[in-house]
Amino acid sequence: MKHASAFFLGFLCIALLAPASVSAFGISPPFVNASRLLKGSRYEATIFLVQGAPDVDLTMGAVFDVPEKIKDWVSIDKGNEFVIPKGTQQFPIKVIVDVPKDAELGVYNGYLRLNTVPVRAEGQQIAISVGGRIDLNLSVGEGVVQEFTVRKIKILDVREGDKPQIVVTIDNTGNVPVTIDRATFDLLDKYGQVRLGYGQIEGDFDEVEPFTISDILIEFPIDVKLAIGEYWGEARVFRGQNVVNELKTVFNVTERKVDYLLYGSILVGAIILGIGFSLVRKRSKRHA
Amino acid sequence: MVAGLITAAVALGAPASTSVTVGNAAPTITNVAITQSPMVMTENTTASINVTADIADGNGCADVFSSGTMTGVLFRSGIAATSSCTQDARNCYRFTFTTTSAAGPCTGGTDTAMTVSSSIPVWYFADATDASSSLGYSAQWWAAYVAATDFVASSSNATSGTAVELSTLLGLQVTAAINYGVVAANANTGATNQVATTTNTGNSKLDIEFSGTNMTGPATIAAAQQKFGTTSVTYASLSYTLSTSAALQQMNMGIAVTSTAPFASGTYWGIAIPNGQVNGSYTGTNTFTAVWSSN
Repeated sequence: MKHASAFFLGFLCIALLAPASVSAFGISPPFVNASRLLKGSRYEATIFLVQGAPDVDLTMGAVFDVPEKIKDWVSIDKGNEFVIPKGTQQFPIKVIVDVPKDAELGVYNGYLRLNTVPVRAEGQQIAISVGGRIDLNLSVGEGVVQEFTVRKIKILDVREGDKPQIVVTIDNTGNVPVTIDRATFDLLDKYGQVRLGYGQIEGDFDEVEPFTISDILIEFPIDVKLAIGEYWGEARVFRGQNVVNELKTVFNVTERKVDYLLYGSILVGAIILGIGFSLVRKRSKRHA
Repeated sequence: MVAGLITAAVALGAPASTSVTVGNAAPTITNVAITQSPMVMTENTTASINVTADIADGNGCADVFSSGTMTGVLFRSGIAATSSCTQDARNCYRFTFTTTSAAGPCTGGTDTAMTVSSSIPVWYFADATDASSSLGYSAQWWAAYVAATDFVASSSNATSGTAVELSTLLGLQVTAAINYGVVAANANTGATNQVATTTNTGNSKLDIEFSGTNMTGPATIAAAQQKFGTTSVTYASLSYTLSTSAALQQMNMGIAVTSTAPFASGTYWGIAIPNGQVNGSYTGTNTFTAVWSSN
């Protein structure tokens, strides 16, 4: 393999532009809502995968994005990869939920993403996969109360080079663990006018236990290295599709100071260890 | 119900003769039904929805089938004037019955009853009425209204008794490929964006999750080298960086109002090639996943 130098131009080559065409796909309905599921029970929901122009056999890929606790509960009758035959406009699949006998009472939310597996045409650089997301809203047990409020959001000051961070305070007034579904962060310049970056996190938050108030720390993966200065941040937290709290305010990025106390302590520790080690060695020689 | 007038005249002592005038019987309509429940739409086109009804006429079914009229309306329940709503592909479909079902044909003569059937092409953006209706019609449903008129313009009508839901359809159409052409190493696409047009081909508002694979060829180009946005600007100013994991963006895609005016918008794409990138042709896959939205 030949590597290009700084003066050497590397090229993405393409012989032909792909013909103008489209990828299309639909899901109906885009939800599986199952409440009051009993332990040890099975629930099935029929979802139609639809295409207006089913000109070719269409390979589909299915990926569950659900909490670890319920990964083994959910499946599709057709498997995680299957083919919709050419000419089929409406193709039914069954989403199956097998609730274990030892399942914990609770509310479990997640997603099932169904996307086409595109066949790359001659000359295509980026093929497009199109699909839809099915929201899974499951609750196990009778009398489940999922109820919480996001009391406040705080945007933290951070050190230079760090990622933006927020703290979300959740008041869980229900009887099952809860958390938010998504958080987004817009990084703006010191005037709050120019957007410098954007980050979001979905479905990977600590849960808050029933009847407690607790803080969740969220760090956003923004591909902007923050320099010292003042910035505006706009944070939003979501439950499902709904914004449950938001905040736009100024925060500071401060200098990353050398921690002399820490380094001093390490140095003193190292010296003491060194002295101790040499004393032990001398004593050993003397005994020998 | 049969209404008839029979008149008989008998003249005592005269040679026996009888005459009768058979009056008109108005048609009756029962069992109006939408046969699919729920109604499932097909993205970017129409789905065939069947409406059936039992129609009888004491003067013979041909009095309605051949000599009268049989019309219907398939409608969302919130439409005020069900029998006279204006044709609208979102919520009011007016149609005519022209066929009978195999189980209930009209054979003519003394046959008084028949089952009529009509297949109505319902557009993909027809109003959803299930729990996830993003236009707020979850408390409503779809119904069918049928009216029949016989030879002498005597008429009757009936509406389906069972509420039928029209399911939410999340549908998305995207340009099939993005081709950046030739881009030099240590350069980016600048102000030359590639446009991927996205079209809402369902009956729900939607946002989109984006993700992509790293591009492969003689070496690898990270997915994060691609950026995109909803306006055409230079590469550096494109709002979002592509990731290998799905990231939701608020695209706020609305629903079509007519079949000739779909809701479409553009996403603008650019790429930067790292310095030292090996020459050659690279390919990858970008994924657009439709996500239901209430607003």
